[in-house]
Amino acid sequence: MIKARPNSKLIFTGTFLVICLILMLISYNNPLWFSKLREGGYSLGNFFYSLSFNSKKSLSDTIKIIIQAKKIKKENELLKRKLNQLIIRQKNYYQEIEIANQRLRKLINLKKRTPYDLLPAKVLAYSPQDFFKVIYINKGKEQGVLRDMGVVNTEGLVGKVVEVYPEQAKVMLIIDKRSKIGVRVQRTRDIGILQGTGNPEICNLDYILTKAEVKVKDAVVTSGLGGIFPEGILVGYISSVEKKPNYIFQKIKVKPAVDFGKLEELFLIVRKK
Amino acid sequence: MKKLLLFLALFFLSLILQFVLTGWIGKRSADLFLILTILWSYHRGWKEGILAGFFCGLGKDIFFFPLIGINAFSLSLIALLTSEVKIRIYQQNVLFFALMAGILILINTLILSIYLFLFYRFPFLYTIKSSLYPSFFSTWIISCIIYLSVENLTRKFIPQS
Repeated sequence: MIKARPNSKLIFTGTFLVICLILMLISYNNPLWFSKLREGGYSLGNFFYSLSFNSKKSLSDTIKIIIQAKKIKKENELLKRKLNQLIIRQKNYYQEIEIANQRLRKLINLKKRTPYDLLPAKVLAYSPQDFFKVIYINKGKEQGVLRDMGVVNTEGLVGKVVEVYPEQAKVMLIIDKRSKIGVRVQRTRDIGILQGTGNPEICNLDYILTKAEVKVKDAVVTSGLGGIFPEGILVGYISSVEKKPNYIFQKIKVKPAVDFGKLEELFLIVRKK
Repeated sequence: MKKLLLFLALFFLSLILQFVLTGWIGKRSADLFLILTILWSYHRGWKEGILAGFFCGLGKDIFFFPLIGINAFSLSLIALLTSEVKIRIYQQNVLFFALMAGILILINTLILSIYLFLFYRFPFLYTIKSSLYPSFFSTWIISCIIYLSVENLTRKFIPQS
């Protein structure tokens, strides 16, 4: 063991602590300075992360399949029957409808317009730190992912991309405390800011005026004002409303539409130029 | 050189296990870098402890934290405290070690909570609660188990006169 005087101990420790403080300040002010370092780290960790995440998932899936084998067999037969029906319909009926649709569109000169494309992605891993609600997805810079891209699934809004690496990206969920999204109450059209609380069941909806007549179970959708998310994506439903007479704003809680414990298939929102 | 190789082996083992455990049990997984720092500085003294803490913390920052430096800061400090406690009140007793490890894990949580409060305005109590439960118990128990195993191995292979 190395022996030292108390003075040298102080200098040694102090040096390291000062280095750490400098790193913290640089990293806080210029997070991109360290992105190369992180890229290397994530490429190394990606293998182990996905290995552990996928092995757990496939193991639990296998157990489920074994337990539900009979049910799945029946379901499979039913689905095959339905698929055959659909194939027959598609060949004989839907093509006719499609052609008719195209003809009518030409007639009224209407173009099919959607404001964005969806890029499919899969969840690689969840954040190990409980206070940061972030996930890692299997699409990155090489697949065209950019910072601040919105992420959705079939249930609604999931979050936005905060860091992009060559073959993966980090997504901050809407339930993260740092997340703030411009939203609108669908029924009353009131605009507010949805902020995560860290709790997957509750988000706070701020800046809705006390005079606004919002109700429990009202749908909350993206407002499209921040420029990150297109408008109209379902975010959640109001779960509680608290009005106080002398306050300007109401205290509203929103239950997210997405089940954050079961995220698997996601879509990145790619804006059309 | 041997010590460096041993540390590097333990560092990479902790890193791989941390990834695997996180994928399997999420937030319940133990903080292996913290355990490595506590044990290394307990057995190898303050200088090596601080170096180990710094690099373990840096690893943790790169892989698991949004900002670089905070875990390096926290674990360097934990390493210093561990070695100081051992020098001042040294007792070769698992209960003493358990108490010390528990307090050090709490201190680490406190440092991280202060950092999250200062940089991200996270509520102090919220971060303490979410980082303590349930990973505190797994970190604490695993550190005690490893301590006992190391002590037994040392006794077995290095008989004391």
